[in-house]
Amino acid sequence: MNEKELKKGTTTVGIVCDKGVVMASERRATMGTLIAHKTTRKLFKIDDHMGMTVAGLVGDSQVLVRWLTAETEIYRLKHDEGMTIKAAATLMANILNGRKFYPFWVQLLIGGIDDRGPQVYSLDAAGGSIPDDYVTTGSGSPYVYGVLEDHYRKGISIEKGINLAIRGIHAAMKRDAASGNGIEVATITKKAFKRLTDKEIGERIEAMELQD
Amino acid sequence: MQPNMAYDRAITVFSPDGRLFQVEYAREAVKRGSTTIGIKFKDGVILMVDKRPASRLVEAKSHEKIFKIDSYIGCATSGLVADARSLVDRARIEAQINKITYEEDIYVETLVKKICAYKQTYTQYGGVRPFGTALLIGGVDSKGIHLYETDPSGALMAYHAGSIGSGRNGVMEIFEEKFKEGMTLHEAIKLGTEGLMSAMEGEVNATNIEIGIVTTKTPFRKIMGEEVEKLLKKAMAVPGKASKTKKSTKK
Repeated sequence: MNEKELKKGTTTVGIVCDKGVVMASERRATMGTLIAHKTTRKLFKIDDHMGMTVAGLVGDSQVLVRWLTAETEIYRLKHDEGMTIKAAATLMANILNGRKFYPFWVQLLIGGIDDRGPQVYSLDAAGGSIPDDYVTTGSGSPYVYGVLEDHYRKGISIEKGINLAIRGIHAAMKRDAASGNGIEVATITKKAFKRLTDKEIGERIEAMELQD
Repeated sequence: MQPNMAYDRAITVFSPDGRLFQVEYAREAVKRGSTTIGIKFKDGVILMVDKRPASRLVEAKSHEKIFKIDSYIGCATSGLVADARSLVDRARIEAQINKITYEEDIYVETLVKKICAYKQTYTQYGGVRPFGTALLIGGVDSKGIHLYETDPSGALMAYHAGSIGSGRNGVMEIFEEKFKEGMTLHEAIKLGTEGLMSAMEGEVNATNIEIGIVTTKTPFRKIMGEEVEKLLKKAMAVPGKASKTKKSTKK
């Protein structure tokens, strides 16, 4: 299996805001220089209070999404409450570390809200799990960090967080060849996991006057 | 061979007349269990259980007899609660395995057959004992509304309205007489309450029963305490001859 033939190359973001978490991704899947898919889902709902973004091999990512979703569902049935974000991140980190010598080729962000407040964890293929206020993964991440380092403020509102995430992904889509084909954004608050519609995202891009 | 050879000791041994005593004893454990009922109605299934506490010192919330298995599947148990919990664990895992394997919710029938296949293995291999529990499994899937009874041997049976536990006979008599297809939720609750009344000496109230409901539109959920009270009140307001049943069961 040639590494270039595997689908990867992505940009995802997770931002901790005052009353929740904003997570975002773009939609391009590449195989080498080929754009293999233009509507790839990389931002997943895990539970009502938790989301996960994936970067890396599509197959590995989807397996892990199904795995974590099953674990959180069983957890909810057994405990009558949702898994904490820290617990989910640790569980996933243990799964990843268990395959250290034949790894899942992924970089994950697990974000959400629980009794401890809004949190985002970033996970690597070896099972490293680190909480952070703002993280970005994938081939487009250096461009996003440029935007985040300039504009992120602790305790940012969700409203501003959404715009910041869009700005970041937008920048990556302009300069990273492996990222593009539209943006997905979701907010996770105490109330719900909510995806923004394409229309809402389009309006925000226009309102911010981002360059085409 | 000794004439008094103990055919009820080792589980895998048939008696000369073809019976498996341990399985029959396990069924006996179910018969001594609390009364549990399930009724299909127009939009879904209800499960109701008698959970009169052994003492007023018991915290009601801690003894569960109705369990959620998947979004649209739940079950009620009769017999050894500990055995039931282990089966429920298994059922929940099977439901999730289906999602991981096919990214689809498990069919109720598939789940019931998996549970029964699992129970059956405990009647055929050495060093084990059968599950001393029967489950009433109710659920909704793309194929429709389902209610199944599973017994310790691993046998399964689909019902329109069924019951397990100590009060089964009385309850089934009432259901035979009064069950109609296409009842509303409240009619079903009312019929269920009548059934439980026969098993609980007429003492059915919000503190001593538990209800589980799943419909084609709403996922399975357990109903306890205050909400049961409201539901019972509404169900009892349904016109019909509830009083007739009370009399007939007292005879």
